[in-house]
Amino acid sequence: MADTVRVHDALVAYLAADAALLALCPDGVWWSVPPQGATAVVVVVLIDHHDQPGLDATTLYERSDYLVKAMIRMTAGAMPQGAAARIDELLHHAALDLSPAGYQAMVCRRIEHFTPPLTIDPTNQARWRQEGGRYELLSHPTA
Amino acid sequence: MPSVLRLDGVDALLGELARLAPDLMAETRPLQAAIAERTADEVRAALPVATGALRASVQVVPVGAAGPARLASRVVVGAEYAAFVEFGTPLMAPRPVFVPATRRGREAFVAAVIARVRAHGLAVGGELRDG
Repeated sequence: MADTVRVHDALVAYLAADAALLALCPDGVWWSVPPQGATAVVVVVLIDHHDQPGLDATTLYERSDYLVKAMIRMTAGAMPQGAAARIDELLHHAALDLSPAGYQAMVCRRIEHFTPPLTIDPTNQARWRQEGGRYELLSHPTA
Repeated sequence: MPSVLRLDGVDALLGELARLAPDLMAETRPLQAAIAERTADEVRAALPVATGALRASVQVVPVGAAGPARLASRVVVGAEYAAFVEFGTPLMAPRPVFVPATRRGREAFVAAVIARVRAHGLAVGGELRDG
């Protein structure tokens, strides 16, 4: 049975297994919100999801629109560009192995670069930069 | 050396399509306006409310036709912090509302146009995909 959450989990696990990305964002890869106290982290957000149903009860394919962004608290010149570039190397036209999730990846590609303005925390004046991209993942359940 | 992709005759082709079903544009214009308003309502209803400014900043902006048989409307969230709400910040969880609602609006419009085209006795083929 198709379980899209397993695709989300597989994407997070894939990113979290990359040593180069973790070297740039040592607080890890998180779903939707970073943990409290994190200062250099990758966050994966599901922006949109759409099923393309088949004629019977099957799903032909699913389209997920993820925002994958590095969030860096700016201390000692730390910037998110390197992590964003690594995220892109890992995801843009990547051949993702989703078989443990019961899915076959069709295509994964960046559809938009993401670089919002600086965020300043009003409680402590901490300055944060974010950078990453929106990635479209098309996949279909194999079972 | 620059790469150049030139497509000749696109406007002529669109004009030809418009002549195949002359009433289609007139029928489609209010359809698109209605779907754009419905999409804006959907966005307003789903946005978080603190002061109401974000919700009040949602508007439908008509876009002038760029050529024959072309219609466009834009749903705009005008508040400066709208993207922070949609995509989150280090201090705030994301609340994606605009992207899914406008995707559904585009799909609804395409489906409605196809239904009208078929009602005129014309065939529509191919696969539809959200872009």
